[in-house]
Amino acid sequence: MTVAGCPAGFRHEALFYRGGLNGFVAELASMVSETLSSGGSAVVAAPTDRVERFRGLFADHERLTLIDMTGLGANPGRIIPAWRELADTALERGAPFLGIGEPVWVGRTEDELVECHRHEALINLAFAEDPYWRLVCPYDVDGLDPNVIQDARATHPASFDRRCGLSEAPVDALGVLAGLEHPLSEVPDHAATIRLQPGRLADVRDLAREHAAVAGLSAERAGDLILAVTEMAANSIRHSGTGTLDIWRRDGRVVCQTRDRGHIQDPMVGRRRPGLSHSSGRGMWIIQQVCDLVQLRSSPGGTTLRITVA
Amino acid sequence: MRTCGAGHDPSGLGCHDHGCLVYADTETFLARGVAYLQEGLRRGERALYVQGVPLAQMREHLAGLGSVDELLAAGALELVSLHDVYADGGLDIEQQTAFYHDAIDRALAGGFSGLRGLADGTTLLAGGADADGIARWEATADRIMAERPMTGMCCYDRRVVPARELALLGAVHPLDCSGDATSEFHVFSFGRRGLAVSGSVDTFTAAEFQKVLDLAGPDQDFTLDLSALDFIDHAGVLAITGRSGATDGEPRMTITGAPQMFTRVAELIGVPV
Repeated sequence: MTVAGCPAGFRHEALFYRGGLNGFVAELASMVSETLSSGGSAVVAAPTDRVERFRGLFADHERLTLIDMTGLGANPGRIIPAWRELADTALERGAPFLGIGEPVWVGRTEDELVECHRHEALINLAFAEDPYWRLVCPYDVDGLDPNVIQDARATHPASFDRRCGLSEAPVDALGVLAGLEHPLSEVPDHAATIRLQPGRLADVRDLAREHAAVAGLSAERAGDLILAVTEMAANSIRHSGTGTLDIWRRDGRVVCQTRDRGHIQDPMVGRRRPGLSHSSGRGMWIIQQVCDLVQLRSSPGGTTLRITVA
Repeated sequence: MRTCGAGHDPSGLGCHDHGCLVYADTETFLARGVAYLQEGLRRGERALYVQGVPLAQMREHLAGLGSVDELLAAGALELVSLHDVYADGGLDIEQQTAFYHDAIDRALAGGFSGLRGLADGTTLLAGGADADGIARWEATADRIMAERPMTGMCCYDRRVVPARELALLGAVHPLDCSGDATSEFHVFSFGRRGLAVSGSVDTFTAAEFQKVLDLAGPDQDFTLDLSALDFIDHAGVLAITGRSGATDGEPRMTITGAPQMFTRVAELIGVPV
């Protein structure tokens, strides 16, 4: 069913703004205000300073949800399922829904930017069958590298820039994803390596526990690391019979990587909340939920999965 | 919480403790068994040795304790043939339960502080009893030890009993007295009509864990204490929550003492706890 006066289907738009925080507010406050006054609901998921400014502007509006994207989106792999749930809740009301999501901010690392690019491409696949709602992704043109802006144009069917106006072009999401299959950086020589074998996950956990302790992770994050590493090792063994696990530390973070001969063909793996009746998919879901960064490279030749926990 | 975990020295076992010792040679079994019984004598407990060999050989086994004749005469030691407790290599849980309750009562009436049993169950398995049945009996025996003044150490010969069955038998003891852990998790009696879990449960042990829960679970509603868990992944959480959701007249299981990791995983996969 289409709401009268609304275009059919999901819309994914990039908004290129200038002027930092003030520019962000200038472009988006009126958009949110219009949605709320028309009886719709809105979600702003953006870095802390942007969210705080909106909290000041809109007080505690009952139909506006504010989310600190530096928490939710630290790992970009967590953002799509969050939008899925937010959109489902909003769409149930039958009124317009506006999402504002800023997953790319100044200071993101190169590795994070690659995964953000993948996330933006996957958004087009994840919500392709949705009824009408709008997800606007603001990009800070003044602060971000021009290549990042170029990437954003490739993943948003519509882009708006106050200087150039609206431009629309179809998105080749699968093409973008294929372009992101370049290999990960080399595993450092000082990494500890375990050959994965069925039934021997206790060794893997002991190794993860040691690295968490040396890196100084909190008890809670150490628990998350051990959980993620167990799920990774179990996946390799279950889908490939065996594999290799490397673990090392970098800048106070623990990085762990599994390599095996399996092939994960679903680009959305780990980005859908597993239903109670599903028998698989929980491992990658948990990994995406608890890690600070997840880098998956999978081809018919094998799968490399790298996680970072801080 | 009762004493639980791996790598325990048998001579350190105290009242209510229940250990499993897997041995690969008779010398190791005897050295650890004698040290274990010696500690009981020191504590003023009556020692009970249950073994599947003739009585004369059992006396020889315990030569390390000192004068076996004197200990027997004083009532500080009892030797019982495995075949007198366990009917013809088979299992009669009711009869065995009665035997141990009676042995504890007699020890207390005789002025001892409790009963310390050393039992070698290898012959039971060699005689054809199935490991599931023995595991069910071990869980019953564990309840007796949790509730009454008794200490137990059950021994199995690695040369006779297959590794899979050793893992199952190790899992139904709170303590692992072997050098190498036989099972990554332990399920044992704790609290009023309750069970507790210690150790780790993951994808590769979850099915076995679920089986052990079924074998050890009381036949009435009970609690499952998780406070001694070291690690659990989503498969382990599902093994537990799947069990507690059991309907059709099965006993209900209530979770207590869930560690942060358990609730975190349950929340992540959307399983109500």
